[in-house]
Amino acid sequence: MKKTSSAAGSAKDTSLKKFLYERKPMLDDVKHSVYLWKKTPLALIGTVIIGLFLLIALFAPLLAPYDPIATDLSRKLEAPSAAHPFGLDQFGRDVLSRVIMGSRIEVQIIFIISIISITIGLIVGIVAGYFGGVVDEILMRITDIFLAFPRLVLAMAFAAALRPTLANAIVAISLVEWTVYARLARAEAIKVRSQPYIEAIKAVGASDFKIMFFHVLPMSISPVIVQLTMRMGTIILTAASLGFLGLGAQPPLPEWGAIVSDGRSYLMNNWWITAFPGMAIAITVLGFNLLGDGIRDILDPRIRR
Amino acid sequence: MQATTERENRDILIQANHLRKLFAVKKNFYSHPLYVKAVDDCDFSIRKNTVFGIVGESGSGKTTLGRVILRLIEATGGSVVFDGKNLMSLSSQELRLFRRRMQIISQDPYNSLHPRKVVKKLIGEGLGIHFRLSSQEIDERVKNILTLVGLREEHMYRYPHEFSGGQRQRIAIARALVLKPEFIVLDEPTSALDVSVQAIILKMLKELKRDFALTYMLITHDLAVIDYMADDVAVMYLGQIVELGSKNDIFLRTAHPYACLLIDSVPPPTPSEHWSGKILNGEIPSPIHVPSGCRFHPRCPQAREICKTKEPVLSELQPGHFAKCHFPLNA
Amino acid sequence: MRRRGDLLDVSNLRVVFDTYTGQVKALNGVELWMNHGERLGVVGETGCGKSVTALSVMRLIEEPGRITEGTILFEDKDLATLSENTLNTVRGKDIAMIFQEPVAALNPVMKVGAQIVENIECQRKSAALARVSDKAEPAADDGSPKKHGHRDTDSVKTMRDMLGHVGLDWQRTENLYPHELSGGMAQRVMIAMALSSRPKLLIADEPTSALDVTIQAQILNLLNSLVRETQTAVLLITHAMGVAAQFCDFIAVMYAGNVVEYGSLQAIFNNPLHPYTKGLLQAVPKIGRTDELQSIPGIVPDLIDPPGGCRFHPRCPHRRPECDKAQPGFEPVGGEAEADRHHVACFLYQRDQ
Repeated sequence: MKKTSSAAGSAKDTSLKKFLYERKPMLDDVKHSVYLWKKTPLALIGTVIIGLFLLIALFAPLLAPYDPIATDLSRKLEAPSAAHPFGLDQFGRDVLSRVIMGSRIEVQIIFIISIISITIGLIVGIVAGYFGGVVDEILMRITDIFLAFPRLVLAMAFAAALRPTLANAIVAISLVEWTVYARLARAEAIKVRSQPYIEAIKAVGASDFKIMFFHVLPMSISPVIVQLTMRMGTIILTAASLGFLGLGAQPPLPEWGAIVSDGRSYLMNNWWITAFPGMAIAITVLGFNLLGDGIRDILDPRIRR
Repeated sequence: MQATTERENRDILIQANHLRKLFAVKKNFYSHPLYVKAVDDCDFSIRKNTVFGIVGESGSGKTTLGRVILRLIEATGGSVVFDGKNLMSLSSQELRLFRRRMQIISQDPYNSLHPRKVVKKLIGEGLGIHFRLSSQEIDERVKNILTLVGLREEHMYRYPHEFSGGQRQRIAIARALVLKPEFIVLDEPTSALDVSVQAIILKMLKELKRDFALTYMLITHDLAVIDYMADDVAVMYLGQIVELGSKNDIFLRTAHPYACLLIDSVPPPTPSEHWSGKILNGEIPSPIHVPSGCRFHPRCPQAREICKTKEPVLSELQPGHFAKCHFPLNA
Repeated sequence: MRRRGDLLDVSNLRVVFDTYTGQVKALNGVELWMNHGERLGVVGETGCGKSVTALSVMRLIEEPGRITEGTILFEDKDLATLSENTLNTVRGKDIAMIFQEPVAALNPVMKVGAQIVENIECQRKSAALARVSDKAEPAADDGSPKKHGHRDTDSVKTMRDMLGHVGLDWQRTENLYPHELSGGMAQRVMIAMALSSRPKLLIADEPTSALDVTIQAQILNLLNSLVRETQTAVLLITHAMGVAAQFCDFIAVMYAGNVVEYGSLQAIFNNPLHPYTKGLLQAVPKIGRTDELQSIPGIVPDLIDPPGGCRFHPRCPHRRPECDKAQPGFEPVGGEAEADRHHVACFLYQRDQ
C-alpha cells in the first residue's frame, strides 16, 4: 500500500486496520487453511501443477515460441529438436506452441462449463432439497433423466445435434455436468435445512429465497466445490474426447483433444504429435484430482477443528 | 378453557385451541402411513408478561408444541390466537412480518447460530427484514443489544465458534431481542449449559422479561428451572397436557400421578434432603401406538379398570388448576 | 508419599493434548483417592477435566493426548506406567467403565446378548492368563433352549443372569440390536456388561446425563442396589449436583484441570470451603428454592494459556495477592473429623507458611 500523503496515509492506515480487524476471524481461517495445506503434500503438488497450468495459459502468447497455426509444409513431421522441443506436426506446426496455446482453450472450457453447470446444479439442487416434497420429486426426476444416459454419449448427442463447434461442445458438456452438482447440493441442502440455525433465521422472518441462497447455499457449497475441482479433470477429458471425435473444437484450433486426434494417424512413426498434448491432458487431470482431494481434506470439518 | 371473563381476555396474549400435530411415517413407499401424535388436542392460554412453563420427558411433544405455536411447523388442526389474531389464518407473507413479534431461543447454542456468519450479521439479519434502517443504524442497534446481553462491541465481527456455550446463548437472546418481540419461546434455553452459566442466563432472562414486558413460553425437562422461572406450568405426557395450573398448584398440590412421580424422580441437590426415590416404572410408550384410555395407565401406580378404557378429560379441580385424571391426588 | 486410598490413589496427574493452536494443559496435578467399596463423585463443569481424569485412570487417553506426570495407584499397581499387556488384565476386569452415550458404546451390528457373551469370554480369557481363573457362578438354568450353540453355555448363562440383574427380560433383549434399545435399556445393557466381570472399580462417566429424569432415577436406583450388593467402588463423573448428592459418599470438585476440593458428601455440601465450590452450589436451581440463583462471574479459562497460580483466581471473589503467583497446595483442612478427609486447594485455608 503506497502512502500519498501522511494525513491520507494515516487515515487509510486506520481504515485498513479496521478492515483487517473486522476480518480477523476470516484471516485466521485462511491461515489455518494454509497450515493444513502445507501438511498435505499431495494437495501441494496439485496446487503447483494447476498453478503452472494457469500461469502458462495466462502468459501463453509470451511463452509460445512460434505461431501455433502457422503451417510450414516443408518441415512437416520433424522430430523434436532444440528449436522445436515437442517436434512439428503433419502441417509443420510447432507442437509445443500448440500445446501452450491450447492451455488457454482448456482454461476457457473449464471456466465456462464450471460456471454454467454449477449455477444450474446449485439452483436445482438447493431448491429441491430445501422445499422437498413435490418440488423435489419433479426436479430430481428431471435430473435422473439426464443421469440415465452415459455422460459422454449424451454430450456427444448434444454436440452432434447442435453442430460441432467448440462453443456447442461447451454447452453440451454443461448440460450433462450440472446433474452431479444438483444431486450433491440437494443432499447437502436436506442436511442443512433441518439445522437449528436455519429454523432460527426462519423464525426471524426471512423469506425462502433469502434462506435458500444466503443461508443454505453457503453451507452446502463446500462439497460441491470439492466435486467441481475433482471433476475439472473429467471435464478436460470430455472436452478432449469430443475434440478427438471431431465433435468439439475444429482444426486448426489447438484444443488438446483435437491435436491428439489430428496426430493419431501418425502415432506409429511420429509419436510426438500425440504424446505431448496427451501428457499435458494427463498431468492437468492429475493436478485437478490432487487439488480436489486436498481441498476436500482441508474443508473436512473433522480435520478442521 | 371455558368462560373467560372480559378482563381475563385482555390479559391473555396467546390462546391455543385444540392444537394437534400429527407426523405421518411410512414404513415404505406403498404402505399406509402411521401417525405420530406429537401434539394431541392441547388447549391453554398464556397470560401477558408471565412465564408459561411446559415440562415433560423427551417424546412428550413439548418441543413440537413450541414450534407449532410459532407456526414454524404447520399444525394439523386447531388454532393459535396471538393477541386477538389467529396465526393459522395468516398468509405466508403476513406471517413473515408477524414473526417480529414472536421469537424463539432454541436449545442448542452450538447449532442455532449460522457457523459462517459473524455476530453482527446474525443479529442484524432480522433488523434488515423488519425495519428500514441504514447500515449505521443497524450497527448501532447491534452494539446496544450486545451490551444489553453482556457481550462487548468488539464481538461484532467474530464467528460463533469463537464463543463459549453461554456466550452463544447470549447471542441467540440478542438476536431475538433486537426485534423487540412480545413473546419468546424458550426451548430448553440452558440444558446445554453448565450450572453456573445457566444461573447467569436464567437470571438475565428474568430481568429482560421485567424490563421489556416480555411473555415467555419456557419448554424444559428440568423441573428446577421451571420452578425458578415459571408462573404457570403445563405437564405434558405423550402429546397431551395432563396437568395445568399455577406453579404452586403443580408443585405443592400436585394432582396427576405422572406429574407427582416426575417431581419425585428429581434427585435433590443436597445430601441432607432425603430422596424419596419413588420410581416411575417403564418408559414413555411410542407416540404412534398410544395406550387406550388414559395414556398414562400402563405406568400409573394408581391405575384402575376404568383408566384402561375411558380417556379422562382435562377437568378443573380448583380455579385454574386442571388435571387429566380419573382419580386426581390431593383432591 | 503416604498411601491415601487402598483402592485408587491418583496423585499429581498431569495430562496434555497437543493441538494446532497449542498445548492444552487438561489436567494440572489431579489428586483423588478412594477405598474399596466407596463411591466418589467427581463434579465440575464442562472442560474441567473430569472425563479426562476418568479416561486417564483407564489409560484410555489417546493421541494427541498424553499423561506427562503423576501416578495412578490401583491397589498395588501404578496404572500410569504399566505395560499395555498388564494393563489389559486390569481394564475391563478390575476396572470397568460405562459411558454417557451407551448406544454409541455398543457395536451396532452385533446382537446385545452376543456382545455381552463376547465381553464375558474375553475377560475370562484375560483373567485366566493373569491368574487362576475366577469362576462366575451361574444361577440355576431354567432349561431354556440354547440359542448360542457355538458359545460357551456358561457365559450365556452369566449373560442372561446379568440381564436379569439389570431389570431386563433376557428373552426379549438378547436378540435385539443396539439401535432397537431405548437410552435407558442401552445403559442397563452397559451396566450388565460392565458388572459381569465383577470389577473392583466401576467408572461411570455421566451415566445418566443423556436420559430423562424418570429414567435417570431408575438407572441410579439400579446402580445403587447392584453396587451395594457387590461392594463395588464407583467413580461417578457428573455435572449434576443432585445425582452426586444422592449417590456418592465422597465428592471431588474439579475446576480447570485441578481437584480444588475433596471430602465427604457432608463436608462438601454443608461446609464448602473453596470459593468455586461455594459458587457452584449456589448456582444450582432446586425445586422449592426461593432465593435468587448466584452465578460465578467470568468464564472458564482457556487451558492452552491458563492463568498462572490458582487457575480460579481471575474469577475468585476472595482473591489475594499470592493467588496468581503460585498454585495453592492440596492440603487437609484442620479441625475436621478424620472421616471427612476434607482437603482444599486454596490459599485462604493454608496454615501459615
